[in-house]
Amino acid sequence: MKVYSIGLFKVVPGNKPVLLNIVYELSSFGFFQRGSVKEVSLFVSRETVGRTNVGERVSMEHTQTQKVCHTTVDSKGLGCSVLTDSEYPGRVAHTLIRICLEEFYKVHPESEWRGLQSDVELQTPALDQLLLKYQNPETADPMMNLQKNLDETITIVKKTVEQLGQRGEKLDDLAAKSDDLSFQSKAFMNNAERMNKCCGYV
Amino acid sequence: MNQNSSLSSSGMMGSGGFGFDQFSNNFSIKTKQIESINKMLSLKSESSSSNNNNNNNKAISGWQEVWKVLIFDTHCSNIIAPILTKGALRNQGVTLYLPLHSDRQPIQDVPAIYFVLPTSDNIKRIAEDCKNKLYDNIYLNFASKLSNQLMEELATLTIQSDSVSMISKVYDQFLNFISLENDLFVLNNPRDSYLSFNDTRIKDTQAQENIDMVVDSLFSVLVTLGVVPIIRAPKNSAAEMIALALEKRISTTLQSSGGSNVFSNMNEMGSQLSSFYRPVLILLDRNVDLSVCLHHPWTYQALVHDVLNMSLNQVRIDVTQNGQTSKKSYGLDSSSDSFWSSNTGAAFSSVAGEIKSQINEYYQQMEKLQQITDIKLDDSDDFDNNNKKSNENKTKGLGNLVQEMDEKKRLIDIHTNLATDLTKNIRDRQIDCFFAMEESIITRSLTDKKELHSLITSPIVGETGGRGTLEDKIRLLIIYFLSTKNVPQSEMDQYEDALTKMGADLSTLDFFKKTKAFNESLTAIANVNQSSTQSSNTASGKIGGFMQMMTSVTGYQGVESFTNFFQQGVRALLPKSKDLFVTRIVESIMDLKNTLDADYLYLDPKIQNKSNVPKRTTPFKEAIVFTVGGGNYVEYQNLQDFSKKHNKKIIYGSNELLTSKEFLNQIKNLNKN
Repeated sequence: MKVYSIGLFKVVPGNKPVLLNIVYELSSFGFFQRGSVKEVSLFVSRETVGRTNVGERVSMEHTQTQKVCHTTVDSKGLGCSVLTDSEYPGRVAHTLIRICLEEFYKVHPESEWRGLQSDVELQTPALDQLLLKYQNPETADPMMNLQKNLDETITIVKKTVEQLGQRGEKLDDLAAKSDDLSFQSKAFMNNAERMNKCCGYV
Repeated sequence: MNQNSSLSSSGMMGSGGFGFDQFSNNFSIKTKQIESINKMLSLKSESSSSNNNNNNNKAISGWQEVWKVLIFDTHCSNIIAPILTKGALRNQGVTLYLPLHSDRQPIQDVPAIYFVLPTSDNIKRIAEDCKNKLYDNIYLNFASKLSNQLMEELATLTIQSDSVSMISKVYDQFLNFISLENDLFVLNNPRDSYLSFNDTRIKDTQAQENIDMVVDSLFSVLVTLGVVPIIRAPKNSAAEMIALALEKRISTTLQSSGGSNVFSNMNEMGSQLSSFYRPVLILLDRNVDLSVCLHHPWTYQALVHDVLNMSLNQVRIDVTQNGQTSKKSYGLDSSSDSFWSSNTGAAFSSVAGEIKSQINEYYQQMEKLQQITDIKLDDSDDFDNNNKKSNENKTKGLGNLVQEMDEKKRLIDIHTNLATDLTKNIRDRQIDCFFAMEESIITRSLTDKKELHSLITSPIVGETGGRGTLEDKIRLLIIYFLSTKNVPQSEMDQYEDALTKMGADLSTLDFFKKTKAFNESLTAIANVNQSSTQSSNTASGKIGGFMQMMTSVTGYQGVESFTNFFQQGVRALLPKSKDLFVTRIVESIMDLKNTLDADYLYLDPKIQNKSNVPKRTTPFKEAIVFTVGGGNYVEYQNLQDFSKKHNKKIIYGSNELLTSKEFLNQIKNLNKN
């Protein structure tokens, strides 16, 4: 069970989400493949958070690569995405998301990022620590208990890649058009499933 | 330490009267490395020597006045061996050369030149030599940069033993690579380079070390050439990591005090010349074209490498004389062997003809030599003074001619033996059939499915009706699979079953199946269109005729019948002109086409403001192409063919040059979990 990345975005409906900060934990990938993995992670995170409604909690599974992207967008338009493997418990992932949003607000009030139109790196040291801590969801378990009652009243919307699409869009088609992905990363993503079986790229 | 030694980076010797043509001819990695090593061995300081002076000294006296001892480690021995003969070392006054880590006796009144890698083990041994006062004084030359830490270690050890005064000079030579040809180099590192950059299990620290080793050697190459190139590399790859680290190193060096001396050759040319003639350094991953590592080669040098396992320009083959077969080693040097120089990239079928021509020419010259001898005998009857002088002149010329003929005969014997051994392998394994089939597959002109089926499924060589080794068949199948758009699953199953029954290990094929899918996506995204080429057929009858030609080379048969076979062979098996994928990338970059390389990094170490790098607007005339994770003579030859056709200069380098066997072995290890 792994958390690969935590990303924070400014989300305005109808617009492309703006990256505010993203941190990665990619030590399980080959040293020379991490560049492509980073780009794919950013692409998946941005696309998924951009299709999440305010107040909604989404766990989108990409069956081809056995990865799940968990996202939430709050009422002020701050979105958070957490990319994990498919075994990682969704409830813990969404707990992590909520904590990340809180930590981000502590350092960067809304006035600081509301007007941004292009990607930035708003340093948030707490994210790095949370990324390490939540690699082991059992360690994070005590946090869940404190919020148990609240969790029970909120359902997590689980969506597939197909449901997320608009007008028949496919994620792989989106990949071909994305600016986040370089030439090689697009090929990497398209073949992640096949490469996975042979060489352990992913 | 400071009183008795000085640390300086070795720069290239300048030469006056620089012209465009002269500079253009200097884009040769081997020539430059020889110059640097000769300068290192001459013990003359940079400011007091020049090419002209050296040439004059050599003309006046064949021997240096100062005798020297050369001491090297195994790494630096590999650097010197392919490019300097014992005679060349003697011309530099080196009468004795010894390994560093060996028992050595004291030698008085002779300076010692050390040429070693900067490692802790080597430093300790050098300090021990100083302590034991083996030599009068020593000159330390490190193949790459000596770190401050190691320098301090050397200083500490020599101070402790009160032997600091032994050291005359310490140099960073930046020579940490191996030149094989004027336009070909490899790195001086442990093998298995494909694994080093493609094994996903590799640890981060080891991966970083692998990158640093390549950066260090490429830095040496650039210092030796005296150029600061534009750097291009694809994103998200080992090549990118190397490109960024190398650019940073060059940029840092240029900014440091005295750093520009490292590329001192650049200053000699002036700013206008330098901006016009800056080459482009193109870094690529081996993965951009894997099938080239599997092709059965058909050019002379590539065959000698792939079939006879040539290594560092040395080859060891079976030679049969008087019915007895023994192993024999030959050094193949382009600078002293004009036949090798002219034919490295020639199709083997024409090489056989060239050898025949050389033999005929030799016999003709022997006849002339005999005539001269006859004249001499006739003249001896006359005691006239004029005739005596004439005889003296003829005798002198005769001696020179005999010497030339001996050398010519030696070279002819080498290539006759090489061709004989190659012919035997080609005939036994039917390499010509595999080559022709692969050629038709790659040029999209495959029409003889029966032949393909026969080559893959017939028994292995040695059995009745055998064709090719198991490895030959796997190579052909992989190339067929990689180069064909859609191979029906039933067809693949049929071939795989046949090979499995013969005992083949098909794990390598699985790897290429995954890689093909990845590469197809790359191609699709880049929207690259394969250019079509004219089709050609290889009839079995011509193969038969060709094989007879092979026999005739061995037997020195008559010219008439030989000519007929030769013509058939040439027509059947001359390689089609086709640019490999790496060559097409290089063309796109050098001619600023911005197609295959649209996504590549563009790095200029001379530009300090990285956010706004102005791009070059005129095509490049010179390029250094380096493949990370292994290279290949076929790829090298293809680039040279391209450069000759388009009047460009290209230097090719890689971690190592891989035979197909070595490459497949690394793929197998990649798959092992």
